[in-house]
Amino acid sequence: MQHVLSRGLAALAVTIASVTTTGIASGQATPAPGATVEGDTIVFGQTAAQSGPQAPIGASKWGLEAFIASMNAKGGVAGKKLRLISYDDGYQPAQTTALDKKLVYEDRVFAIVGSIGSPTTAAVYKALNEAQVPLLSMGSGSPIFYEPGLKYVFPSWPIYTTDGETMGNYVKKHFPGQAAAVIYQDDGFGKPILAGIKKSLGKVDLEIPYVPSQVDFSSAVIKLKSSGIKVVMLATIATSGAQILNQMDSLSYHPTRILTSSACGYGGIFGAIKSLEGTYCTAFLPPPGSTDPQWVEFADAMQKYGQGHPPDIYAAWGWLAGQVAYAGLEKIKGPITRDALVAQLETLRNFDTIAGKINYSPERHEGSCCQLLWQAKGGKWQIVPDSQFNGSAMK
Amino acid sequence: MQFLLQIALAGLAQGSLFALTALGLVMIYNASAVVNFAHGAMGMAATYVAYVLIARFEVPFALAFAAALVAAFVLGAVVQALFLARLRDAPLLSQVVVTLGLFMLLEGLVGIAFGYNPRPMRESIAIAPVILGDLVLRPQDVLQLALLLILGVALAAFFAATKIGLGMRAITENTYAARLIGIPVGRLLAIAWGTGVALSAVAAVLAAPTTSVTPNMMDTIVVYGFVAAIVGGFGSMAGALVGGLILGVVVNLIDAFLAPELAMSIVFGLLLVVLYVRPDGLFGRAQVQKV
Repeated sequence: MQHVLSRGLAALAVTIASVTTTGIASGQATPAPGATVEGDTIVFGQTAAQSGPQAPIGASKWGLEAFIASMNAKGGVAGKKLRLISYDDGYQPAQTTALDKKLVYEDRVFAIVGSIGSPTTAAVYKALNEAQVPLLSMGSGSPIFYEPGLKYVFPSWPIYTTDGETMGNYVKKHFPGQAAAVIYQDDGFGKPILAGIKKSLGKVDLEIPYVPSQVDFSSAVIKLKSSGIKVVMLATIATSGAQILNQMDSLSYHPTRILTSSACGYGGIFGAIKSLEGTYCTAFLPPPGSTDPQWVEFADAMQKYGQGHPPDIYAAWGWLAGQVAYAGLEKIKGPITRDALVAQLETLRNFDTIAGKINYSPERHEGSCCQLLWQAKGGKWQIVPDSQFNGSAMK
Repeated sequence: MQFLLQIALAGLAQGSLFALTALGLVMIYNASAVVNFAHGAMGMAATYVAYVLIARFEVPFALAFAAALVAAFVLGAVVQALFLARLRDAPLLSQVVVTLGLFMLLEGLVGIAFGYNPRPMRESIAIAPVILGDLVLRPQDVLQLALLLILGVALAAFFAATKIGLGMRAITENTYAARLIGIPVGRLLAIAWGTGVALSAVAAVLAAPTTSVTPNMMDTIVVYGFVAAIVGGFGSMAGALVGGLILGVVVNLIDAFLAPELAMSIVFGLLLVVLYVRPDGLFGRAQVQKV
C-alpha cells in the first residue's frame, strides 16, 4: 500500500513538473542562445523551399550565398566573416517550425535571414520574436509582419497590399471604367494583394480564388471569358500563373493581364508562357538584365559566387536580405549582439538597396515602400513609365 | 447554357487525364495486386524525356511522345523486375512502402536534375482552337478524349483476344496456377507494369502543355486518378475510364460553381458515398473466395 502511494506521489510530481515546464516553454519565452557573436564568424540561418512546387522561389538561397561570399571577399563585416546555414522546408510550415528550432537551438545562428514564404514565416515569427532572435528580410509582404511591437522582425519587401494597390491604381488610371477580375491564391499571400486591389479600385467585378494544388484552371478561365472581362489581375505563384496564362491562350481569351512579382521572377518565364508579350508584372526590383548599378553588382556576384544559378528575381530576394542584415551589422560598434543589431537597423533611413530605399524606425519596421510595373516587350521585361506606387506608411 | 457546355467539355478533357492515370493504376493492380504510389512520378519522369528531346534536340512532338512512352514502359518493367518481383511474397505494406519510396526518389532526382521552375511543353496539336459561337473546342481536348477511347478499346481487345492479355488475366485469377501451366509470369508482370506506367506517361505528356513540366506536375492528377479507379471499382478498366470522366466533370463543376478549395473535400466525400452504396465501386465485382 505504501509502495503504491509512493509511486502515485512520484507520478503526480512528474506530471506537475512537466506541465510547469511546458507552460514555461510555451508561455514565457527566454532569449535563445547565441545572442552575442563570440567567434570570428557571424552565422545566419535560413529556411527556403528547395524541393516541391514552391522550389523556384527557394533560389533566394543562392542570392544570399552570393552576397555573403562577395562580402567575405571584401573582408566580411565588423572584422568577422559571414556564414549561412540554409535548410529546405519544402514550403511546409510544420517543417519550417522544426528547422528554425534546429537553427536557433542547435546551430545557434545569430539571426534568421531571408527565409521565404508567407505561411512558413507566419508559423515561426512570433516564436522567434519572443526568443529575441532577429528575423530579417523574410520573403513575404504579409501584413502580419509589419504589425507594431515585433521588435526583432524586420520585413524588407513592400507590404502585399502595396502590390495590390499598384495593380489597382494602374488599372484605374489606364483602364478607367472597365470591369476587372482577380484570380488569387486563397491564403496569406493572395488575400492581402486582393485587399490592396479593392482598396484602390473600390470594387472588383469577379474574384476567383484558387488553391496551390490546383492543376486545371479551365473553369476559372471559362468563367472569366464568358463574363467579358478585359482586365485580369493575378495574385499567383509561378507555376499557377504559367498555367492560368497558358489556359487563357488555349481558350482564345486575351485580356490585359497583370501578374504579381512572385509569378514572374524566374528566368525561364518567356519560354514557359508563350503568350507573355504585353503582360504586366508588379515589381520592387529592377528587371533582369537591367543596367541599374544595384542589379549589375548583384548579377556580377551571382556569376562569380552563384554556383551556376541565374541572377533572377528570386535570387535577388536573397541578395536584398543580405544587404539588410549587413547594413545593420556594419554600424555596430562594440560587441555584436542581437539587440545591437536591432538598434542599428532601426536607425536606417533611406538606405539604398536593390529594392530601392528602405526605412526602419523604433516605431515601424517597414522595408521598401514602393512597387512599380514591368511589361513584357520583345522577350524582356521593361519598366512601365509612371507606374510607381508608394504604399509606405512612413512617407 | 454555352457556359455549362464549355465547363463540361473542359471537365471531360481533364477527366480523360484522370481516366488514363486510373487505367494504368488498374492495369498494374490487376496483374500484380500492387497499388503503385509512384505511378504519377513515373509518368512525370518519362515526360521529361519528351521535354528534353523537344527542347534540346528539336525532335517533333509525335516522336518525342513515342520516346516518352518507350521510356515509361522500360521504367515500369524494370521497377517490377528489380524491386516488386523480389517483394512478391513480402507483406503488402512493404510493397506499398517501396512504391512510396520510388515516388519520392523520382521526384527528388528529377528536381535535382532539372530544378522546379515550370518548363514549357509544346501543344500536342499545333492547330488553332475551333470557335463555335462562344464555345471553344480545343484540339488538345479532343485529342485527349480520342486517345482515351482508342486506348480503352485497345486494352479491352488486348485482354479479351491476345495471348498475353489472356495470360495476364490468368495471373490475376491465380498466379500460382498460371505459373504451373507454364505462363511466363515474370515477363507478363513486367509487360503489365510497363504498359501501366506508359498509360501514366500518356496522361502526363498530354497534361504538360497545361501544367508545364515540373517534378510535381502529376501529384494532383494521380490523386484524382486513384479516386477514379476506386469509384469505378479498383480492378475494372471500364470503371476506371468512366470514373475518370465523371470525376473530371464533377471537379470542373465544383471549381466553376462552388470553390476550388472545396473540390478535393467534395470529391472524397462523394467517394465515401459511392463506396457506402456500392462497396466495390460502380463497375467492380465483389471479391468471392472459396472456403
